Amino acid sequence: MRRALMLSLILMLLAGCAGAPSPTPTPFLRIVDDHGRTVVLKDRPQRIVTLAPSATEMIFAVGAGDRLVGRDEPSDYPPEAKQVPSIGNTYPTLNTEAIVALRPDLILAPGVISPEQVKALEDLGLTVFHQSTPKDLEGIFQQILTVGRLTGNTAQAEKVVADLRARVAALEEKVRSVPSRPKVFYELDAMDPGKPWTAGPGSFIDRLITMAGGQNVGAVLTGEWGQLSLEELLRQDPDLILLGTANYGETPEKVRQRPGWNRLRAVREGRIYPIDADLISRPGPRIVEGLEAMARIIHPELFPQGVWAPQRLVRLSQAAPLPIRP
Amino acid sequence: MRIGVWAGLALALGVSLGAGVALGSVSIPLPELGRVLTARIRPEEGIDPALITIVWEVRIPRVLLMALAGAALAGAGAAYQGLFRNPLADPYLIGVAAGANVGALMAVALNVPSASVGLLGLPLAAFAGGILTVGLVYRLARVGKTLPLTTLLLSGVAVGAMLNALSFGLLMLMVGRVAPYRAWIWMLGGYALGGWPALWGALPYVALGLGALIALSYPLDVLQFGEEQALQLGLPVERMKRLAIAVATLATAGAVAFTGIIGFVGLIAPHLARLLIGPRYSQVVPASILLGATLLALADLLSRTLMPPQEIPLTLLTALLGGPFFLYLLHSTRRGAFF
Repeated sequence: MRRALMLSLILMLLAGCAGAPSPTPTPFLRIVDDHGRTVVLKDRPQRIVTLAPSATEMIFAVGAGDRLVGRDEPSDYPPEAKQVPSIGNTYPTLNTEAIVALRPDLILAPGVISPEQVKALEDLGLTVFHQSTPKDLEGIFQQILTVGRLTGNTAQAEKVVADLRARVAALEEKVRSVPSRPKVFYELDAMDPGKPWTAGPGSFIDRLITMAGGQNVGAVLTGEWGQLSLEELLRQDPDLILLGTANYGETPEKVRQRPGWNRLRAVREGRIYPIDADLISRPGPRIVEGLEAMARIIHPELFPQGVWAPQRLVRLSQAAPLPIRP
Repeated sequence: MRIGVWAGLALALGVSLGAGVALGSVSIPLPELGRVLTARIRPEEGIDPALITIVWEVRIPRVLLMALAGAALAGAGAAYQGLFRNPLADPYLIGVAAGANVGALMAVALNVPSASVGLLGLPLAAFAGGILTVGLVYRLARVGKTLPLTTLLLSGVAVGAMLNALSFGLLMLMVGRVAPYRAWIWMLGGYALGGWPALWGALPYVALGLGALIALSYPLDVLQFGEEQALQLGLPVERMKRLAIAVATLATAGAVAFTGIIGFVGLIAPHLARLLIGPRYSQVVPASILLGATLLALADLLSRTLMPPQEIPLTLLTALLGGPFFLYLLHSTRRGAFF
């Protein structure tokens, strides 16, 4: 911050004596992050560290993956990311020592990183861009564009976002053409099958379900996340169940065996679909893949054979998580 | 003999502090470490600035803060064990931790970094929560002009239970609104992000509290005869109890505000001290302080080096490793650890 002030002072002085040879080179980028902090990058970042999977995926999406020198442990996509040294989990403790040792010139800290952690890194003389947690798809697109600016890969970021926007528009167009809006239950966690966690109104998942042409049964909750009692689930009787817990070993078979769950129509009719939660819960570039996967489950009639790798559709009702690509 | 024990304690502290600075998830060869350590005093060419940052800005303030917290918790634990004449007493007995938790959660719920206090908001709120809670417990427990310790203990437990329930309620409410993990990070202990400012923030409270506790350790010995006896021996019992509670709270709250709740050290360090040096509080309190500092510096070292680059929450280690070690000592000495 102080350095930023100094720099801006020097720049102002320089502007005053225009034409004088500049002893301080203009920084590569001066940008305000999502928390109102001014971040100054002297040069185009060559040593980037990311602190959440969404940030890692954005760095790779804009084509700056070769400049990534560190990542947090859960960052496992794309596969190349796993070759990059890990600094461990950022929660509950952040290993600042391991980060300093990587000599990063840019740290991309998503909204899940606390302001205290960002301050700790900044106090160690590191440059941190602190993102916020996006509220909608547009928020993610803006972040990808910003990551493009931060890395100097603006053109590629714009291309990526234009492509994602086109896919979303195409999907919305399709969904608009069908009148039905099946009731969807998205399972976030079912440690207690009597009241599983799901996404409430205004949450990202709620929006995705709506965009994919479904109706979120969790919309009755008051907060963005909450537990829905089995009773309420029976009352609403969803048309289908999306298993966001599939990556953690939950299967349609296990759901059928939960006490009381066989009373649900979706369970009786076998409409339980595992879904790769990494596509849904990471606010990164693959979110559109998640949206498309959802739409394909909710409105299979919209996606006739051959449009998108039809043989993958067969696997939808099976236990395997879905690595669906357009 | 006694001198040997004290020298051993001091040596153990020195070694654990040294090891805490020398070792970490990034390995630094010893000669290089020496050059890095002197770099602040005598700048030298060719030293990696990242290493200087790691040693001077990450490791040293952190190791010192953890040692300070260990000293505060162990000193306060010893004082409470003497005051309540109860081997189960720990620094959190009368509600400091429960109050500090609620304070920290409030700070997170209100999203204080945006307010004028900046990032100190969470430690300050935790500190205030701890102090206010003990104040409340104290008021509730007072009977006329006296402070019956049983009433104090029971009020502490009751208020603590209520506040813990409140903490869980706050956490539930936070899910999906603000990020409760910010509070969790603190509640799990080993919140060692503060660097030098955190150390300077905690130091005055801990130093003041521990200094007073050492001064109070002789009266604590007198108190072991029982309150009536102590009164007859000329000890101003009520004033002494009040003072001991105040300074133990100050030391504990000052430390945990900057490190988070760290369990178990405050319970076992005094018992270890007693095993080493006998039952007299004039010796147990200072010995506990040295031992607590040593134990926590070592626990922090382990938390950083056991599975790098992942750090392990401190409370997990203090209880998981400290517990068996303590039980072994208890068993192998085959003499009552208390009295």
